[in-house]
Amino acid sequence: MTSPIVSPTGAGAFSRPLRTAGAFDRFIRHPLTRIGLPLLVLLIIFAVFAGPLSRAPQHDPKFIYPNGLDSLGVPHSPGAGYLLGADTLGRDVWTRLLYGARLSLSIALCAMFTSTIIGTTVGLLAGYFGGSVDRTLTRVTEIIASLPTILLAITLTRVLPETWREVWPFAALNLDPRLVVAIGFVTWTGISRAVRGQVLSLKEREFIEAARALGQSNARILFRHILPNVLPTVITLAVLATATNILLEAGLSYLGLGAPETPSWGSMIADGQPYFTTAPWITLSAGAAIVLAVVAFNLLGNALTESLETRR
Amino acid sequence: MSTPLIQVTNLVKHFSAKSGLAGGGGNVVKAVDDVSFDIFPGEVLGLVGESGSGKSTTGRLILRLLEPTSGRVTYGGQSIFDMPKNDLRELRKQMQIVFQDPYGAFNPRMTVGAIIGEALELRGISGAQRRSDTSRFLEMVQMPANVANRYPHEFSGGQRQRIGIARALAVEPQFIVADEPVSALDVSTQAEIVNLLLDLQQRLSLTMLFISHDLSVVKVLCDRVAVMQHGKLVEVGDSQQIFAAPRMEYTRELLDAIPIPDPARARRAA
Repeated sequence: MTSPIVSPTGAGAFSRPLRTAGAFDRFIRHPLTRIGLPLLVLLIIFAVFAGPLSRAPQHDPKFIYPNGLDSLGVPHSPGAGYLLGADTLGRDVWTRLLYGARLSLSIALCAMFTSTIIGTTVGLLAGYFGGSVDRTLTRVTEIIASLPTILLAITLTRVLPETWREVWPFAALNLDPRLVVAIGFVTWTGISRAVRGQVLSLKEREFIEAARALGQSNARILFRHILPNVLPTVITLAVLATATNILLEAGLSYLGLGAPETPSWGSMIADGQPYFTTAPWITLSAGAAIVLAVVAFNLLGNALTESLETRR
Repeated sequence: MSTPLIQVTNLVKHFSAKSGLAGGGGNVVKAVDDVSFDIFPGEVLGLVGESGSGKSTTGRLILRLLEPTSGRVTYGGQSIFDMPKNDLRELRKQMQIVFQDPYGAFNPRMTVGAIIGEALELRGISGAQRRSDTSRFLEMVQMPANVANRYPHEFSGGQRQRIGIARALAVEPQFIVADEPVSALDVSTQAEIVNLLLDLQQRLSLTMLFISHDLSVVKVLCDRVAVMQHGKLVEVGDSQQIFAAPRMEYTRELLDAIPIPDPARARRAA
């Protein structure tokens, strides 16, 4: 390109379409990614290698150490084998934190897939078909969005059948699918609204009209022409939704709605709260873990927003 | 003359400009108001008028890209508005459109090969045949075959318009609506695209509805001309007759708006 005006993306200064050429480069080089990505990688390492990284030799978040509590019942403070101290039953906080990362991430990611699939589908259909389909779906979306998130999620976890817990792969992962569905179901509305808006403007573009003029089916137009062009938005929102999901999971398990035997950051805060003055490390470490995880996803989400930003 | 390929009868399209919460009682824009004309096989009919005169809407109605308020359009004797969706999808391969805006006309996430290939796929062409046909259609619009791997945004306006024409031709249509295909291009490219269209029209004996506000282009390309104003058809006639002796005042005004390329002649005319 010999033109003196060279845009940072390498292509012409005008006529940038929705294409995301160089978007990956922009994302990787983004300053927020440089903080967010290492944080996320660390979190994933913790979650995946929770076993080997946890306190030897038990590697068990439920193991109660004989010296975990002193003679007065005060949990062991950080140090002397306890990296982050012991909790109110004498279990290792560091070990529980690692297993908590596993739980928190898997629920947040599964819920993210749930909400992304619902939100994208509803948004695509409402935006593309318009008319009564749009009115119905938009009303439903609005009704769900107007309900208090936590209350709706609590209701759902109680209403959904107990038997779901035995469903593979959730049983194997010791995950409560009811929690996943509840969280996924309360966070899809934002995605659906954003997708609908994008589809509304996309379907006015001439390449959609060209596809119709060729006699392409609606399914093909939706999946081949519209979906690829809303994908950048969907990806960004999915990452941001994961941050929200981590918070929701923590909130719900703080309220005691998670699986009782699995350590979770939310339930750790709830357990440690009454002992905050004598053993603050229990609450603080779980709280810090939540903050770091949420910040990681938010930073990455913002970096994505800016690097996938579409120009025309 | 032979029987018309396309018959447009009393075509009406109203757009309601909805306003306010209730959306009722809004203004109605009569974009196309009781328009009737015929298009004969193998001819190029120019549809001219100022912007907002309803010519693009008429073009889209003929292809049923828009639903009419009332009226009738037949293609080879079949009424396209009464046709079941599946039959219509089949018929669409016979009638194609070339768009005004060569920037918005392509999915930015598809390569040129995929764009043309998709049209070929509708005719059941796949595999190696699809690749060789893609090259053939690119060649037809004077583009090298290797552009198939590139994205539309890598090309200039004129090149994109060629790709748009190749996509339209790929389903081997009989009839093409060219919706202001050159008005977004600069003057030097305009001539190339007009010549290309003229050449293809003759070579493939296409029937064409050429929509334009630029009468100098229409004069080169069209056998007959239909003039629209405020959604109504004001005059239809042979190209030569209209340019030599326009019957209507409006047509005369449009003709007077053609710039005269020779300054000396322009002074004499004034």
